[in-house]
Amino acid sequence: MSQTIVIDPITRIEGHAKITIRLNDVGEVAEAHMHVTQFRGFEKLSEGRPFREMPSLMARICGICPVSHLIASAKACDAILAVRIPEPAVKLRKVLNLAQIVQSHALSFFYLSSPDLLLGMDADPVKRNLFGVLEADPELARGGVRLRQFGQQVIELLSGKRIHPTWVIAGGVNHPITPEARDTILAQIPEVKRIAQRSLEWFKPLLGNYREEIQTFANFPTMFMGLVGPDDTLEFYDGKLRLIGAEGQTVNDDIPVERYGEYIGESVEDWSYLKSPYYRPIGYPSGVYRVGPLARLNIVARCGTPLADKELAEYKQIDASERMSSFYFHYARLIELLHCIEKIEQILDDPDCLSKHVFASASANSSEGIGVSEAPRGTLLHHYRIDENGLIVWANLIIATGHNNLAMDRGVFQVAQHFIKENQITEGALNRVEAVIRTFDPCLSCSTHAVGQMPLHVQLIDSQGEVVDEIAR
Amino acid sequence: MFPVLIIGYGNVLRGDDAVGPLAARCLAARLADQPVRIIEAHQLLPEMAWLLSQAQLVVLIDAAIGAAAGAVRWQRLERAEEQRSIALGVVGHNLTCQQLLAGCQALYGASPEVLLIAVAGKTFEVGEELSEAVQEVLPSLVDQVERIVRQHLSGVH
Repeated sequence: MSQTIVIDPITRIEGHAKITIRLNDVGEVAEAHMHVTQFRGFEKLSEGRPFREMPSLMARICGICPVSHLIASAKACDAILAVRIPEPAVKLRKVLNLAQIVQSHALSFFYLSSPDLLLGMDADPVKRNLFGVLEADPELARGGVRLRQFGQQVIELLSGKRIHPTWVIAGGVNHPITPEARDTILAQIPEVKRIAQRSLEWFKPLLGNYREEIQTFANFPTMFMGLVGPDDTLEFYDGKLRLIGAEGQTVNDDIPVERYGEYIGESVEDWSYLKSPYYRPIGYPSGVYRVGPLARLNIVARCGTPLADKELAEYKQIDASERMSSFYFHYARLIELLHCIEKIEQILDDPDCLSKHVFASASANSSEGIGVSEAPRGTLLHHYRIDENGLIVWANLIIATGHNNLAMDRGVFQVAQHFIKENQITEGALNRVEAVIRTFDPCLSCSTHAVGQMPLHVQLIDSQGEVVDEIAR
Repeated sequence: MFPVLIIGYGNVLRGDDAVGPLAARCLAARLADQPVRIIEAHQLLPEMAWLLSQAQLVVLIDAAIGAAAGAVRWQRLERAEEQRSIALGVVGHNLTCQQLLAGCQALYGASPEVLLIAVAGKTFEVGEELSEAVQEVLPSLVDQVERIVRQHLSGVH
């Protein structure tokens, strides 16, 4: 008799989703899907709004990564203004974006995933959380808290607010950084850099303990996409949009962003509110690709900062076929974290960042604008069209998590197939099904947050639709 | 280090849930010349544990349900060591005040005095207005907190 397992909601992710796993008559996994069950509709909601409002409106999409939307939205608005914004404003926007990545990566790695890594995938779920980490390894927990605090403080020092800042505007930023704020940030760099390095040293030896997870956590060939800077350097703000194949070969070295629709298709499935982008020239669903930390490190040759470059060189020693595993998102996230701290230091060491020239004034000079940047979770695209009054008539957003939807879905199937056998569903197996999703660190528009412990509800439903077993925590 | 930390938390776009941030805003104006750190926040976060560790007195102001609108409950939180069991079960980036206090002690070995003020709300629907009952109680609440803080700072408390 076939059965269906439902995990609803998935815990320790940003937002709301569930997983269904269908078993066949002999208890083997026949099918598995991740369903994103929340609907936001910001594209429709923005119609009729003045385009200059878009950055602050779009920042409201998410409480974890508002800065990412702020940046991509402002870049789309810059394109509508059709002006080149002052270089100091670009630098300050970059610092803000890097700080966002620091705080978001710290949240993902230390708060959401380190319980699995430190305490084990099969550990008691009551203890498998940040406070469990705190009891087992206070220094690790303190480090994670400190890194997130640092990222948030940089955002606050630049923009005045930790969450939903409105500092980035069409044409630049609305005020320069003060020398005091810059010095406050720079004074903290040595400490947070040490924490990031220490975290990598802690994590790398652990990889040997997770061979089975490495082999099964969305470990399949896909393409990878992300922005690349000059000389194949890691880039989060600008650059060309590159797509590489599973063998590392270039599929498209410079996707023309203004014609992204010719290259990126968006499929809609009836089981999820999250669209499934794919590489259109290859088609759906074969055109699956991944974005985010793993993709970014797989498509670049260097980070462009000394400590991160050293780590990247070590990371690249791992066989390329093994780096297909989404388990390596964790590793890549820590390297990026170190890089972002170094990069913030590099930019703020440049006296030009204190320039008062941070805004270019202009009216709308184009009826359309596209902004692309790298969010913590991957490539983010905002595309707007306006009417003659500067009001939005159409908007399209391709969110980082969306790019990974197909890979996450296939990852759930791979893990379920490996760890759920003969109707035996252990707590550890359930956690692994969730944990593969966590490696991608999906952010499902989480401007609201669940309170306290999120429940895990699993139902076994037979082919007649009757619940034959149920687990809840 | 700062002697007093005030955190008013809640969603300012959800009716009476805004009472914490609004109280914090009023107190920021009244205590501007005092060594007090005042924060408006959507919710309590693990990284606030460090802020707690830097304070002697922490005042948390939150909205609540389960009582008549406008009712104010004042509660001194138990020391964190008695709250360890509550700390277990936290999942990510949203904490109860007890969990935050437990985190403060475990991470930084500090146990500040914590006063939780919970104001019962009437409506938590989308909107930027407080209900009449909560509007009515807000000024006296701010007066009382200001008095407690000033007493603490003067060493009388």
